[in-house]
Amino acid sequence: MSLLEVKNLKKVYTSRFSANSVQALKDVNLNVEKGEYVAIMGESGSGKTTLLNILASLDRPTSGSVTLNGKDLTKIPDKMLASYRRKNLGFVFQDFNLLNNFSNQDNILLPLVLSNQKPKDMFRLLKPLAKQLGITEILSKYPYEISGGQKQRVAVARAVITNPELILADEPTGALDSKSTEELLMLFDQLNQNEQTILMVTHSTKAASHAKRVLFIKDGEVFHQIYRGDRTIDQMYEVISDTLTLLATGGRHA
Amino acid sequence: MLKGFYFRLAVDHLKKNAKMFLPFLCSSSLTVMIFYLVYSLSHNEGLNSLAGGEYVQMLLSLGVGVIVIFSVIFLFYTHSFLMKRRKHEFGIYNILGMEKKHIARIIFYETLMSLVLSLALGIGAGILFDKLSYLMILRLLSYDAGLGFYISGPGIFYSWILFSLIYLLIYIFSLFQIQMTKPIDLIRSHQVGEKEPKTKWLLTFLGIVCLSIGYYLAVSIQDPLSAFTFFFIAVVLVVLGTYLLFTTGSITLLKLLKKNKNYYYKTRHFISLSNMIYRMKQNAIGLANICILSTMVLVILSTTLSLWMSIDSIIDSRFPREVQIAMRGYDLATSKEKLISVLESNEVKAEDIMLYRYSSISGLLEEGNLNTDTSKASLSNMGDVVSLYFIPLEDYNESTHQHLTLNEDQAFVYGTDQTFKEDRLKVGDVSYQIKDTLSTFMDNQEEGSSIGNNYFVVVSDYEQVLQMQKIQERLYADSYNTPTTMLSFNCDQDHRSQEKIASLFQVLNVDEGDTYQDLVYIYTSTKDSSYHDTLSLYAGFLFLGIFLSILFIIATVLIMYYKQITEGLQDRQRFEIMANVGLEKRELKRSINSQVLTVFFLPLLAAGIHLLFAFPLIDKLLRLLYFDDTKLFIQVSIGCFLIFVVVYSIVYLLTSKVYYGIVRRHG
Ligand SMILES: Nc1ncnc2c1ncn2[C@@H]1O[C@H](COP(=O)(O)OP(=O)(O)OP(=O)(O)O)[C@@H](O)[C@H]1O
Ligand SMILES: [Mg+2]
Repeated sequence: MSLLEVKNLKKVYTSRFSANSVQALKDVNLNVEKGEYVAIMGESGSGKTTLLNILASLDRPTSGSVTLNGKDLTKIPDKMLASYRRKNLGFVFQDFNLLNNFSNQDNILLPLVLSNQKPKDMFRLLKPLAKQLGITEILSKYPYEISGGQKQRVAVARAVITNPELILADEPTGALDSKSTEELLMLFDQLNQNEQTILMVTHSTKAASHAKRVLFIKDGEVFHQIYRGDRTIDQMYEVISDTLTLLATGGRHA
Repeated sequence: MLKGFYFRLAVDHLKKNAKMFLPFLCSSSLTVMIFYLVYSLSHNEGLNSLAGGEYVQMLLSLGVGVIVIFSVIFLFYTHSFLMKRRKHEFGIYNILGMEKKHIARIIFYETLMSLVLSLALGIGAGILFDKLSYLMILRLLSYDAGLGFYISGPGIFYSWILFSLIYLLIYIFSLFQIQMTKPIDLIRSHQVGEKEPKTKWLLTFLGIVCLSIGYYLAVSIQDPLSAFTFFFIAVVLVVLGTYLLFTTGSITLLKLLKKNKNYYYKTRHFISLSNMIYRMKQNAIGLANICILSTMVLVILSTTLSLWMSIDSIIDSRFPREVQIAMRGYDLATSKEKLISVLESNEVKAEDIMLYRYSSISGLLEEGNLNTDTSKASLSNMGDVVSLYFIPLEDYNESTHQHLTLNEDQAFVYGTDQTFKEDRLKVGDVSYQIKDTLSTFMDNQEEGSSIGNNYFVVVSDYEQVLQMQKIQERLYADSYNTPTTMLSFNCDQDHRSQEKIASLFQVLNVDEGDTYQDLVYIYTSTKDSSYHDTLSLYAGFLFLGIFLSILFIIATVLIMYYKQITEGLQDRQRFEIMANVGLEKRELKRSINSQVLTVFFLPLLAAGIHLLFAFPLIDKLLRLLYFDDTKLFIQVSIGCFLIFVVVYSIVYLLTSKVYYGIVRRHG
């Protein structure tokens, strides 16, 4: 059984004010195995964020099912969603979503505090993690006092400190320069080597080339996928670029 | 052409930001209105010509001063809210290539429009309500009023001058702010406030000290005279303490709690504490303002209302009898007959007559010895100064229908507030043996109007009284009291007015003589005229009290409203993130509610505590105005507080709708 199973997922946005509705997801099927590192690519407006939001249980699908560890997310009552999300999922957002009124340390600890953990246990988890991410020095600072790359590392720390089944990242490198992007990708590689499952939405070919599998979404459907297999990162980069060109010129995959 | 562009930009902005701008415009107009009203009334000729009207106008003129000071602070403060929210916008303009002088032009048009609108609306409303307030004053003074419309030219003139100046100041200050900040800071200005504040131990400590001393003064002062002096000191200390504790004290406390890891890292505390630190940093001044304003409203309303309601009992206690004649002259031997003869020759139908002679002397009483060295008296022991009234036994026996006896060196003593403990009383070189202390005394009017501690000393005859007078004149070279014969009586059976009857006694005046001892002065007072004077005075207080309360309440409402909007916008994003990270909606809601409630009712609670501590002090101060009905004062204060809580809660509910509206828009 896969860690994450998505079946016949459909999402239609209907506007209250106009008759026309937007079909963001038509029929999405996908499986993610434990320990996998998956990147999702696609044109702007193809439905990536919509998919991610549904996987994150931040939004509900129009139809279809999302099963995480055998549990159907779409069936979890609203009340329980928050705590479910907290226990099983970690998020990394493009714009970090850090709270300026908490120190970086408290931002990272936030999900643990919400789960009523003891301070002693929290700090036991925090210390090695901060060291691994190289953010020990900035823990007592505030988000507005650090750089974008550092912010994203803090955000990653917040996502992984609960030891989630699945990390969801929506364009995590979008706001970073190339050096910070490189660092973040190394970080994800490292996490993935420790069996951490990662699902990442990205526009960046470079970011996607680090993944073990790349999915392409077009018009609300999974259009194509590439497994990395034995390819090096550079080779993977080539293949993804080619595919993107193909997609853009409208060619149909056989 | 370009000029029109900036003007349009300004109009456009005001329209788009009606939510921020309209409340400011309203309160600015109301401030103008109240200024115009109070100014116009304080110069209203109709009012001036009324008996007692001049008291009202005198108080209103004082009120004008208070309103001017208040308007400056209030408008300045609320306008800074508007500016804070606009810095970001100006930053973007600036970066897009608009020069600072263009921004200045936009601000100029905006300020000008606010000014013109507030003046037009304020003075318009002022003229409308002018008549209404005038009628209200007349009713308070129990007069009937004619109709007619009154427009005060000077009122309009000074409103223009005052508010133009205030707006000019506001404009200059805004320019200064824009000039001083770099565009990048303008853009970031909405983030700067998010820096965590530092703990300021010293200021917190200072705040506690100020507040404690203020409170201590308020509860420890016993006599009304020192109360008057220390009232202002106590007020300043408490105001200072309030500001310090709201701004630094709250943060010190919160950060202290935050240091305790086991407390801080609990779901509820974690979110509330961090948010509260942030909220307090942003709003502490606003909350302290609300607290001070609330306290002022409560104090003003409860005192003016209490005075107004107790007017009858105050007059009754000051005037046990309707007419009161004080004859100041040395001839105590015949003074009584002279007074009685006036009554008889005019066939005054006088009842319940009281007649006695006395000489009074003041000093510090030390172990039965009257110390007249006034250089020793300072503000702090003002309350230890006593007045001794020497009264001949004959008069005492007459009015109490007794037949007590005394030797020349003996005396009875009665203390108004305390019993005389020594067995001898010594004044100068004369000393009396205290034969007895009296537990009751004839009802006496001089005593009712005096606030110090008094002793009545009954001596064997009026020769002794005159001897005391001599000693007094020797001890106090040129400031001494003249011997007095007091006559008071009721005359409601007589068809003549109290004033008329009192004036009959003027024939006894003697303003020529070989020595000062031959001179006689007649002082009269009647319950009727006094009633009217007191009525006008208290009506003036009440009227002003109501006006100032309205003004302060407007200020409170506006501050609350702005606070809600600014907080709502800032909280929205934070709560969204927290929801994303996995905070349950229910939990989030509970946390928001408790924070908002705390922040709102903190000032009210503090105002209640201030009022509680101010109570003993004000109660003593009111004694200076002849008010001594503590029970009534307690009831009125509690009533005012409860009504205020209701009003405050309504304002809270209305403004918090705005807040929740903003916070929920995304959730
Ligand atoms: N809340 C919404 N209401 C209505 N339509 C929406 C909503 N959110 C997204 N859409 C529409 O659904 C489609 C998919 O949007 P989505 O945000 O998933 O795209 P995306 O792949 O993430 O694009 P991008 O790469 O630009 O972030 C788009 O056509 C978008 O306009
Ligand atoms: Mg997207």
